[in-house]
Amino acid sequence: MDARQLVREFVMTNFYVPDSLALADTSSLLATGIVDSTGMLEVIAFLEETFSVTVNENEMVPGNLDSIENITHFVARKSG
Amino acid sequence: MRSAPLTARQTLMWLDHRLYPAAPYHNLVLTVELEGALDVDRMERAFAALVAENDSLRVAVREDDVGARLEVADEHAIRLEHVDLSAASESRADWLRQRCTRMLDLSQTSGDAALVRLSPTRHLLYFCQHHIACDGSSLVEICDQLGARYSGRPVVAGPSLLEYAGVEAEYRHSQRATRATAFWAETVARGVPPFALYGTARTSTAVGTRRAAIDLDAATLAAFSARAQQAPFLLATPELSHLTLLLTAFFAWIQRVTGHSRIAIGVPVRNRPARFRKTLGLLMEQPFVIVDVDPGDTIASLADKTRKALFDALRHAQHTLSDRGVFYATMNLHPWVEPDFDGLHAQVEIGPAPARAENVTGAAGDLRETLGLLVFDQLTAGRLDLALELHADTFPEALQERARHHLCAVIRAIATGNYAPGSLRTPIDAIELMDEPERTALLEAGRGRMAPIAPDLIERIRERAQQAPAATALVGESGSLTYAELAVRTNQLARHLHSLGVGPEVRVGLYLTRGLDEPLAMLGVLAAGGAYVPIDPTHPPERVALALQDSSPTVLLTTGRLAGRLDVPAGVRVVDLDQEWARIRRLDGSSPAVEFRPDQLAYVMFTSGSTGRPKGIAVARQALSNLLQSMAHEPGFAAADRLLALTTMTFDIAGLEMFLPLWAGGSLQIGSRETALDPLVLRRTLERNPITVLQATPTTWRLLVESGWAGTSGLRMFCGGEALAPELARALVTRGAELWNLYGPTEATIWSTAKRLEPGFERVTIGRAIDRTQTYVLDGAHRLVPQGVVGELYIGGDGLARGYLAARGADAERFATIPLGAGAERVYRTGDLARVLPDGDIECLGRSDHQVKVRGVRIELGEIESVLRSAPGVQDAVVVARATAGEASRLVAYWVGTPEVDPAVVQERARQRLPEAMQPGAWMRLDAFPLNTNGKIDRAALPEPADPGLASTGVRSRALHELSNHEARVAAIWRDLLGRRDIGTDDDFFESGGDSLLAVGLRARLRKEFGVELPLTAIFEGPTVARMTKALERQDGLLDRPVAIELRRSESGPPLFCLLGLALYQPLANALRADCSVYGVHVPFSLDRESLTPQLVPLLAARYVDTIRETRPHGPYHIGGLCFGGVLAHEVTRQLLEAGEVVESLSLFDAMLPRAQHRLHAKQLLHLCRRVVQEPQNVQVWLEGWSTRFASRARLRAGSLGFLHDLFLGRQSATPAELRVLSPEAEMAAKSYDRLARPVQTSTLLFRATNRDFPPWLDIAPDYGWSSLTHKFSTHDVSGGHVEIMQEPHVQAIARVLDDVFRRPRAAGQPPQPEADLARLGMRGPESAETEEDSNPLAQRAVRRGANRV
Repeated sequence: MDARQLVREFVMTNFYVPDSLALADTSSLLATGIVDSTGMLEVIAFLEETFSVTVNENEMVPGNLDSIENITHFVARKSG
Repeated sequence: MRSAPLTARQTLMWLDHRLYPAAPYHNLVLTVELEGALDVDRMERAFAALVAENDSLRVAVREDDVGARLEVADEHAIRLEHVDLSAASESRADWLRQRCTRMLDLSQTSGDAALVRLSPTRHLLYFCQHHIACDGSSLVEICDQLGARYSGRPVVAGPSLLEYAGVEAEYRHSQRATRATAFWAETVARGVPPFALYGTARTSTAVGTRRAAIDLDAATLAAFSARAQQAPFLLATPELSHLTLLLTAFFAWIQRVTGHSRIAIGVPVRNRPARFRKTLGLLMEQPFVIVDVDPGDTIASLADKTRKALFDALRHAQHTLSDRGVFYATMNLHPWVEPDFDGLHAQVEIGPAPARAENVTGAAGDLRETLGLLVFDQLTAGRLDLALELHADTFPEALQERARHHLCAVIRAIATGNYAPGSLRTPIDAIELMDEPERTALLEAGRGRMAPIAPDLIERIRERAQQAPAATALVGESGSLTYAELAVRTNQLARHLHSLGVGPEVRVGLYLTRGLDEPLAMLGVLAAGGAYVPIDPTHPPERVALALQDSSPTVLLTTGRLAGRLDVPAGVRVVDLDQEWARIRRLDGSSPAVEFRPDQLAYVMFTSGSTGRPKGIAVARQALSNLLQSMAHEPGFAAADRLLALTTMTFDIAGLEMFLPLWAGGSLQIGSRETALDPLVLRRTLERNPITVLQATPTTWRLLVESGWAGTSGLRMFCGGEALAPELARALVTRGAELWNLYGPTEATIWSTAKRLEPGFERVTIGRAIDRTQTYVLDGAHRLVPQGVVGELYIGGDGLARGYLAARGADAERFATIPLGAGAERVYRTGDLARVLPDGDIECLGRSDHQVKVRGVRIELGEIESVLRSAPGVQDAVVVARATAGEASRLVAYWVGTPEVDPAVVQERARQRLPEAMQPGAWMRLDAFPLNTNGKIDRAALPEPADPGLASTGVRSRALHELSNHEARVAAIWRDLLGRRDIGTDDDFFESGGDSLLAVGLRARLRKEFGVELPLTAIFEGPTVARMTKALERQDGLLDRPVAIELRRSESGPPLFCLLGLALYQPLANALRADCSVYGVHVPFSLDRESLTPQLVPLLAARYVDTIRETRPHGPYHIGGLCFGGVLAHEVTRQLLEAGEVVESLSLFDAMLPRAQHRLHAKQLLHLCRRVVQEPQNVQVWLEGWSTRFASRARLRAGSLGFLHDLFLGRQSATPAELRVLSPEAEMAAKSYDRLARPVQTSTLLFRATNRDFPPWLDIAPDYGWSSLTHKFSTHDVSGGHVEIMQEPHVQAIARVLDDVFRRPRAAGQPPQPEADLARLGMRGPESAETEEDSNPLAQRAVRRGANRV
């Protein structure tokens, strides 16, 4: 499973995503209310454990974390 | 029925609930207003369904042995009550207030609810639940789910609360939790000193905060809020970004109004993993965000730190409470920020009627908090809404308003400018907090009276001489001078000095002894237009040489005796007044034509400089006369007044003593050197002379009070030069007419502020500025600090010295010209910490350069000192930080107090008032402080604390064996809970590994053990064995039951039961190596009418046997006991044997039967006579030494039961007399046992203490009376006293013997060979002839120890 799929699976299984919502990779996780502040920390814990990266507070910005797309790119940058 | 242990956070809530049983501030309340026709049945069904589906609405708290559990059961369900207020007179608000401040009974249910009918078309849904099972997010969910159920919409309920509890319990063992624990441990280890905003301290524990919206215009708020969208505030989500922003503002504000650099703010967070977002219950956490605001920090750099700290805190939030330090921090809550309460203001639709939830905080306010700070970050409708909550009792209304203004100023500073990062470069300490009116008011309060410019001192005295030439001016030992005579003498000396070249700016050294020469010389120099330089004849020559070098005097005035001592530099003309007065007296006595300019040098005063070289302070004539004019006005000095001058001329305050009387036309009496040094002479001088004014340092005043001075009516007391302790001030204020506390550095000419302390004063302040003087309390950036905030005291105005003669290093910077008020002003930086009180008075808080760092925490020694001084009976205190080799510096507290002061009380005061980091590590009580020549405390001469045992806590933990029985029982519970053996009486439960959860268990165990309910406050406020025991003993009905406490655990081997003591035997238990458990056994026993029978020992022994068999129903046993405990042990052994049990050994620790004592009357008399002849000087001491013994012997001899009977009946009314080792009661009981004791067939070991003082006429049988009553008897001598043998190191010897006995296989059980032990006997003389007992070979030697001791 590639990073994108892992992230999507994590989001879909851990957060409440209404059936009515077709979650696109580019959809904002915050704007749709899927991930809140606590959820953001869960996402980070997941990334750190799954991809063996360390996220520091400077990287904790929507540009890195606000969509499945952003997260995937962020992980790629961190791992690469 | 299902249940789960409380989570850490729930435990905290529960503890709080129990700690403050009358404070309902954990009631979370939600009200929903329902407009329109409500279907009441439907609502009721909806509520019932909600309760049925969520276990958190059906819980109660059950206490058990290990703490408390949350129990889910239908009977605990929150019920919906129906209330009709439509016709009631009671208003809705009154009903709400009353309802939501009710205490909930958590053992029954966790909340209550009501549907309130206000009118046919208006209802109010009221819901209240204890925080232990609810949080803010839950309330929103409840609203949501109830609305959905009522409207028939689908409901998504979250997993149950118990499920979350399971997840949390699992998480506790995860790697993440381990990391979090480490993180918080490290965070807490950094330490955060508590602080008081605006110098406030909580004055009451009443509940209640006042909340007021922050008064900012919409544009500013919008601009502030918009900052959150950019770096450096940006953090993941809008909420977190806003939190960063708000926290930055808070940190900046708190730093500015406390002066503290390290600040912690608790941040409640939802802490809801996605799965549990809809779960009802307490899931929120409150991690701490800790930031160091350093000098030079800008808004941007502070935001960076805040963001980092917040991120770290959030990452570890789920485990916030696992660390006891954070637990403590939570107990003393720091200001907190509420970021996530937006939900409570959400619009919620229920049914047909639109409704609005509101946050009812009728019980708002946390009484534990000194500061209740809340920010409601309400992001509803995109608008930021801020409110500040401050504890109403702590913050007066005016202060609340100022506080809001200051916070607004910080917010404005962050908001203003464009959004470019550059605009955030404003330094935190450059933010102007105060507006113009506030600044003006502060400056006004610091400004002294604008008196007219004072005339020159010499002109003023000449005026006096013309007005009242015959009035007495000077009084000395050798006679007195009238004003006319004084004027003539002054003029004659001035003319002489003038002829030697003395004029404006020319310095004249004064090297004189105490007497009239001093004022005459000073005045003569001033009248010549020159400046005097007092030089102390008692100072070492090197120091005098430096002063002469720096002041380069033209002339040196001295007297014959002193002249020879001095190595006078070339070119200095020496005038020996002893020789030259006669010639000077022939000169013209009229005033010479000399011009006095205000800025002309009047004197140079040398004080110790920071560089180690004394520095000369140059004071102008105007500064001197301004001081005199001001002091003549207030405190005031009249022509009828006489001042007794005590102070040495080299201390600048002597200037007031010399000149103030002359300035005012009064008289000056020069006190002799003896008067200044000997308080008894001073007291006599005051009694025999019409003195009305006396100025002295607190130290001299204290000596005077201690000399028995009862006071002098009409005396005006000027006190200054050091901090005046309230205790001394109280002693002084009734001993004379007026007490004035004066304050001022030499650099601002004698005194700068004055305060009259009236009887009944509340605190000692230094008052306000004197005439033409201005005080400023400034921060490090030279900005005025708001009222109440600690800053450094600066002084400006006419009193300022011209400067230093030869300024070196940092000294030069003490005078500075800084922009203040209207323009720039020259000020002197005092180095004293101070704050402005609400009435404008200045409170001085000690030296800023006594600021030290201990364990990384910045500490003001002055603050600790003021706390110690405030303890009753403490006269003065000095705290120094001492660095020892290889160790961090530690605080040493030195204090002087009245004899009756208990040092423990002083230390307790420090514990109560000061944070841990500020607790002195060592304490020294001194008889008096070492003083320097100016009468000030010489810090460098304070002794080094000698006892390293005092280093850690300052209180010597009592040794284990000194524990009382109650303490031993408490310690045994600690030992079990904490898994530690070495529990001292003063160890802190929370520092010894205890945490909140263990505290719960501790409380339950204490209840079980003692049968009384200990208030939880007692555990937190007194977390030591000693204090907990005291708290227990204060409870009624304390259970005193027979106990056998396990002192040592071993899986196999027969146990050793030691009688009549618990902790007494702990050292033995620790010292043993053999495989055997050790128990201390104690049976509470009151001597009453019934118990005083000859059968006392057998009866008591039977109860001991019961207690032993409750612990171990069957043998084999080892039995032992000290002193009377040994007597008991003998009988216990006999009874156990009789019951068919096996007792392998009996250990008698220095236990003696009365039959072993043989009195030799003739020897007794002979010995006494010999002593009187040989050492008559010692006889009294010697007799006194024995008199107490005689008393106890007398009691023993008169030992009829009737005698003791009365004795005990008399005592019984107070406390039941317990049988203890060493008591005369025990001796009495032993005597009766002696007659009926029967032999036992058990190997018996007698351990004799070698260090016992038996009277020389008493012969002691070496077997102590036991050999005929025992089997296989052996004797072992142990160095040490009677009780000491049970203590380290002596007890080791006993342990080695017992190790041998216990290790030996039972079959081959033999006592150690007597021969082997004989070698260890420490007997002094072989006077065996007088032995009575000879059944044992050992008994052939009589023990005659201590016979030659005094």
